[in-house]
Amino acid sequence: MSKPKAFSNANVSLTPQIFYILLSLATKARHGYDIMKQVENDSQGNVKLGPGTLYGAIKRMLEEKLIVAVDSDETRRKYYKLTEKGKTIFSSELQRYNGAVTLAKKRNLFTDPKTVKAGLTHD
Amino acid sequence: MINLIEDGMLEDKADRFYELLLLLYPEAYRNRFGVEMLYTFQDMRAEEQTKHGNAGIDFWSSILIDTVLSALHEHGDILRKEGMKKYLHQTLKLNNYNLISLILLLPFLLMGCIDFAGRILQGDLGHYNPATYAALSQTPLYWYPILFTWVILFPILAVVISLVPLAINSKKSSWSGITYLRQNPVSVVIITVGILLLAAVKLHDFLPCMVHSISLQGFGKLPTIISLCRKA
Repeated sequence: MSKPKAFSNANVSLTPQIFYILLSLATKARHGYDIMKQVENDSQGNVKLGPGTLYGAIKRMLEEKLIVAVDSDETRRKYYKLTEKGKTIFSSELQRYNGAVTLAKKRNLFTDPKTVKAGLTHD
Repeated sequence: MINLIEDGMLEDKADRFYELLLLLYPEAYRNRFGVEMLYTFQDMRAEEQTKHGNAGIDFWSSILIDTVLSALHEHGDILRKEGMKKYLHQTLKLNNYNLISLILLLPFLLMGCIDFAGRILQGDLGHYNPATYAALSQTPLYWYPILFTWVILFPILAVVISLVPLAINSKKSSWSGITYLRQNPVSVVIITVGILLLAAVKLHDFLPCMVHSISLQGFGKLPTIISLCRKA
């Protein structure tokens, strides 16, 4: 039996790198370095991509048809944008996050990380 | 294959070094994303220079780690998809010269691992583990001139054998040695490892001492560390 593909349906969890790349491309087409900077900004520095990690992720996303390369004015730099499939998967991932956040708020699970840390230290 | 140097893209040594690092990736991947990766690297380096004046050790170490890990991932990906046989011949382009060279390097690599493990066990990377060497000296591998054979002669032979295809084909008008090395990264790795092993004969206490001291004290006291390790 063949292994299920990582992005074969909209119910799978995306890795943080893939999620943030999809987020960066949700508003406009970007080239590699632009994606890298946007991911770093959007994740507040928590997700940093080197060229190797970035293009490894881009390769897999191209294979899964989540993104496509588009022509640009510049001669060599390639831009990437979301496909309809990419938009659908990203949208359902956002809805999944939204559902989890709503539930966490309802159960009053949001706490200040500093408070939790201080509590752990004192205990 | 994309030749970045001929395309006039590589302005300085840092770019050339990054292009060499790109040789670690499978050829098909390199042809598809190599130029874009180089562009991204150039942008990153320009930003680093604007922020800090120059690309420092932190920048280069993150680039090295990112490149090595992602290259391993890409090789693993092809291995999973295509199987070992196809991977070795079509992706790595492993030839008989490479196989002979690898076999010649194995004894030294094995001994290096044993030496390093002995140093870790005694908690002092700067000096060899006497117990390990006492045990090893009982084996024929440590008898002269056998020791000389696999420590000096085998790495030299491995490097020379890896260069044989270059010598054989050098008279062909269409043949380019650089192209051969670009398409056979295993040869580049073998030549590099062979030279490093020969250097390790001279620096076998210096290198572990440097690794150990830098891991403890960082790069801040590099000149002091170097002078201390020279005496190791």
